[in-house]
Amino acid sequence: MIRAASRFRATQALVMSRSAVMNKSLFHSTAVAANGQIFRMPAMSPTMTEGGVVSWKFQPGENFSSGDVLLEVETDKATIDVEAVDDGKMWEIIVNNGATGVPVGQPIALIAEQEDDLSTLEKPSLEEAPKASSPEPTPKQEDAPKETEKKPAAAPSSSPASGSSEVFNKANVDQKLSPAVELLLHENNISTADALEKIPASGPKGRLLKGDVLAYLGSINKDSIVKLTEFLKSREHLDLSNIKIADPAELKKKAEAEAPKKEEAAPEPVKPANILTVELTSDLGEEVSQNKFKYAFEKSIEVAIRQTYGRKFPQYATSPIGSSLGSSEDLFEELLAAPVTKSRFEVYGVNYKFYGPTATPSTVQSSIASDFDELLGLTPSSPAFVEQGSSKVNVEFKIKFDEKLADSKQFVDSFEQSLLSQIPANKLKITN
Amino acid sequence: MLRTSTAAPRLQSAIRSARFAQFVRNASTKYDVLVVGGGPGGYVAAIKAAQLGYNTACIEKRGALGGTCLNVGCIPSKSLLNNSHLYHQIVHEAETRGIAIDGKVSVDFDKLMAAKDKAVKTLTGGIEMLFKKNKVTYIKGAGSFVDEHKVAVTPIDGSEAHEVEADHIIVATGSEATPFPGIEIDEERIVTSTGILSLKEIPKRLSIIGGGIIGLEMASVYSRIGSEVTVIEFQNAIGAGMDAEVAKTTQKLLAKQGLKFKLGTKVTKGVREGDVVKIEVEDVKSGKKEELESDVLLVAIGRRPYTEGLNLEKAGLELDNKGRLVIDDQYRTKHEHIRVIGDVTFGPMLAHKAEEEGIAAAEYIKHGHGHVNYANIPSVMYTHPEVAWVGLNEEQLKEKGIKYKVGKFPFIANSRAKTNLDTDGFVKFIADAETQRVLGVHVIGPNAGEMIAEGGLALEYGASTEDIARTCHAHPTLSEAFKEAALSTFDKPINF
Repeated sequence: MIRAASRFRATQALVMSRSAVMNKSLFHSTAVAANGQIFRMPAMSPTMTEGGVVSWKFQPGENFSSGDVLLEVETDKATIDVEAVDDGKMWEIIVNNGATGVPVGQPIALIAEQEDDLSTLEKPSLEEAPKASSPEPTPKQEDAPKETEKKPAAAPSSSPASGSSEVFNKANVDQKLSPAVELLLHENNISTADALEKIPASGPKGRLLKGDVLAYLGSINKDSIVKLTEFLKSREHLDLSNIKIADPAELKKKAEAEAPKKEEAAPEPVKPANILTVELTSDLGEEVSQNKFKYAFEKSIEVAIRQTYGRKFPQYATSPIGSSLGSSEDLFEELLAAPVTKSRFEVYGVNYKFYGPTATPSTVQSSIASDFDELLGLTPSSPAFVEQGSSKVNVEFKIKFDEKLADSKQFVDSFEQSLLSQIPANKLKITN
Repeated sequence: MLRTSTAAPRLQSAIRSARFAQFVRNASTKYDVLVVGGGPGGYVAAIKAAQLGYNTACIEKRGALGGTCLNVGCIPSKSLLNNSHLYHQIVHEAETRGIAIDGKVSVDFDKLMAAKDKAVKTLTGGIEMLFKKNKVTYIKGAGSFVDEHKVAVTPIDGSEAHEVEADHIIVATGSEATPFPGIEIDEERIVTSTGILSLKEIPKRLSIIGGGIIGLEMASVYSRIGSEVTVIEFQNAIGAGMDAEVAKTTQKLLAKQGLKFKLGTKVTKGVREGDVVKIEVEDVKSGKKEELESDVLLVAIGRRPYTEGLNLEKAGLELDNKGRLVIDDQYRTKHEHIRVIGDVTFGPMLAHKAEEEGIAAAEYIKHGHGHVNYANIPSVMYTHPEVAWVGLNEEQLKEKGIKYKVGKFPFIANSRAKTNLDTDGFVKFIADAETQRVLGVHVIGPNAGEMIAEGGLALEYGASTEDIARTCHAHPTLSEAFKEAALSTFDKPINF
């Protein structure tokens, strides 16, 4: 017997016990109680099918740390030290020193977390030995230790390392193998059916990964897969640990402190962007009455609207009503090129303020409907006004444009220009 | 006269039908699912919820759907990036590419902006159409909680406020630009990512606080069309979150395009004086002060959750110390029927992350389960060359003590990149040392943003780099560089 110079880590055994815990959860629908783990005969080489327990280095109840030698295992080639991957506690030795011919994957001990109370811990079931754990089709059944009576799980494990994440699953048999896996299996004369049956899978949803095959073949250690997969899985979820709830009073203070500044610098305007307020001031000649101005102004708006539509759709310059035009129901098409009948904008809320030496400022509301009938000069005439002399007028009105139509803004711009060309205004202020 | 008499009743009936619509709206204000916020998270959640059979409404106060991303973020910036890149190419590369230009090539800034606005408008209108198609009620207004089941709506058209009630509420109110303490934003000379997208003219000098994705994209746009751009970054590296090697290459390439970088530099003052902005900066290490002058200052130091006006306390919702709405792993607040997704809660502030969560939140409501893989959310920066990454970077793996191998392939050795005369950058794979499982992909180069999708697929399936190397990639394509980089993690590349 050669004593192996290098030490092997008992990862496979631990890994297998994890998959056992997983399997168990299929039978018990409640959460998996990670109470203790089954330690199985590890496969120390790809060809090893059975081994012997030379000696246990820890007695039940003793704590061990990651890296400690748990036991010596005898294979057909060498005697090898098996190291612990994680900290833990020896709970019960199932296969005692000196036993030989123990199949790989058979439970040989129970281990627990260091802080577990062994007297109250629930023993994991030893019945369901994972098939995939052994390259042998059916491991020889040794007399399994008797099932101990079940005690209520009183000590839920607090350590996340104690098998709470299941790294290895039974491979999903419906999968298409990846090219790397396929080639690797082929090179090693493993059939696809065999691979899916025997090789535990660490990929998402039971996908067999290249690493799983390499581990099965013994070219790499399983513990690196476990470590990596656990890390990758930990990142799949939002980190909601260590949430620090803000103090509402503090928040309020902060908000108040910021409030005055925010008003000036509001990044997103609360006001609808499609309503423009236009304001202009114009000098009135002495002979122009308020009434005349209003009439002229409203006419100018109508003309400007006509011109605007006419510029865009010359054929309808005289009457953009064209209700008989085929209208497309397709909203997308409409968005890109709205038909002429679609009104791009409307003018409303015209408000005049007259200033003058003789008259007190008078405010008159008038409305111009968007309806084209009315815009074409067919509106009922404005109520009569007492003629008054004033020298200045301030007009304010609103333009609401259809922001869904891509060309609305262009129409509005064109309208503004057209209007400005008709009115002797010395100031035109447009605000949003 | 005859005409006028017909017009009047028509107007009246229009008013009547508007009133009727209002009445109907008020009468049926109980929904199965109410989504507050119509951004990428909210509108997707609303459509998904409607598709799952719920009577769904979505409240949005902007006046257009699509949120920050579509209106003042990702979409308009991509329009400017693409068109400014075309201009830059014409000016600088036409000759070498054999294109002769008679006359002057110049930028029509107004039209550049108009092209951007048109793209935005079509897309926001498109979402409205999708709402109609999926029968999502679109409520144009600002929502604020009345209690945990009722939300008051203040319509943006100035009509009367009303209340809506819902069995389930999804909050997706997004984020806003984080203000820089002491610098007052006027969105004209001192701007955020919103104002920089609608400047009136090309600034001669542009300074940018923040060397993250937003800062570098805007730096690229304005530098290409003639601005003198300075990027000021507090950290010693640009591209927050980027793989260090990629960040360094990015900086080198952008500097070659004329961008100036001031790294490890903090801003101590930024004030507008007339039409210029005076900026005071200080070297973090040496403490050396310097004064800069700029026509426009962009503050792009990050974004923060936006919950203004939401009246959270009425519903009893909690914020954490960074202003994020507190949720559990199913996006639930302390009220199970109120869920929160997107920028306003935890996780990376990215439109595609919010979209995924929108789907998941609707599915949680319907089925009790949903899925977002937070380990597989790609990031893309649309500079030229583009930068994209997904998964882990070297720093994260070193910290965790995981052994990895790097495989790199430069675009200079890629045939398609060569023919395109666009060969800056490389593909970098990070794979597990033993199993070659793909852990991260980092690309800097032409079309990196499209290429990264393949990396995401590889991660989702747990693929090894060998799987990618053994998958046929078309020739000649840029994606061959992707394949060869994968190959390089465990073997020798063929073409390099």
